[in-house]
Amino acid sequence: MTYELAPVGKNYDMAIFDGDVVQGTWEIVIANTKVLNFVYSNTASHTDGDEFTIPLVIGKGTYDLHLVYTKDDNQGKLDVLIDSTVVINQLDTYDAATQSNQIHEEANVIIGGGLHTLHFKVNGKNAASSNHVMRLQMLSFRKVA
Amino acid sequence: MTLHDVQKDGTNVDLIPIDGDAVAGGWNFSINASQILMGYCVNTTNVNNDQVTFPLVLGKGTYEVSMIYRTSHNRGKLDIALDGNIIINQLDQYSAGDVYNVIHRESAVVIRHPTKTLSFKVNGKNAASSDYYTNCSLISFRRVA
Repeated sequence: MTYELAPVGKNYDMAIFDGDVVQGTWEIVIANTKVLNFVYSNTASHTDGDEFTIPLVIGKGTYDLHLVYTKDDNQGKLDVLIDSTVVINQLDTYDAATQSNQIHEEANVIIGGGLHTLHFKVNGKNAASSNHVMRLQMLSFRKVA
Repeated sequence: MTLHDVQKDGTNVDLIPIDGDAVAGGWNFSINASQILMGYCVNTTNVNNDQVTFPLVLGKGTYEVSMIYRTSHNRGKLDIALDGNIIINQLDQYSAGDVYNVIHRESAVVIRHPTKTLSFKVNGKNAASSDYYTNCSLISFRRVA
């Protein structure tokens, strides 16, 4: 069974649209200026600690992660975890003005074989931000080794 | 090493249904600004039994399947199948008014052998519906076991 859950890794472009909610209210909001024409957002709950998860099996390997998201004056900081390991730490999505289609690259993320859980969690905010809103679009895994 | 060899153990896959192989009727990707990904694959011939297929290599495992689509007054029911095995049966896409970005989740789809073909086929309609249009913007296979 260990082998069966350790397939060869490959690229995976994941639209973030239907998570398992741990905290808060997460929903699709259509936004015509965004890549994929939407954001997945906790606009309704906008509370620190808002979180959802997505099951993940992509195969063992080393990946570059590309997260597409929005910045705005009411947004918080984001943690992305694979299981209990933080792979993106307190990404600050605050900006004084709306910035669409921002890309954060996290290089050389090592992912083992087996079943994993991706966590997206609001973790604090910039002192200048008015709230803890998060707006996410997609996460791309590109295998590099 | 054959494709079969590297894909026998499943990983997550997101499929955007553009440019399918029509089995019956006409299918295309229709633009709609209110929908995720700016549109959906739809049978423009709107006849019962319209069908389209997509090559999809999906390895063995248990998956959570999440599909996003639009409902409306003129929508039919849709069967979604993998290599002829129906995994979502007569998904009713009728609603009295337009509802965008509706999500259907199928929680435990067990795949025992690698699959090669994903099929969308119109299979009837709600008594209240005026036609047989069906659609899909994105279908996501997330492996959970």
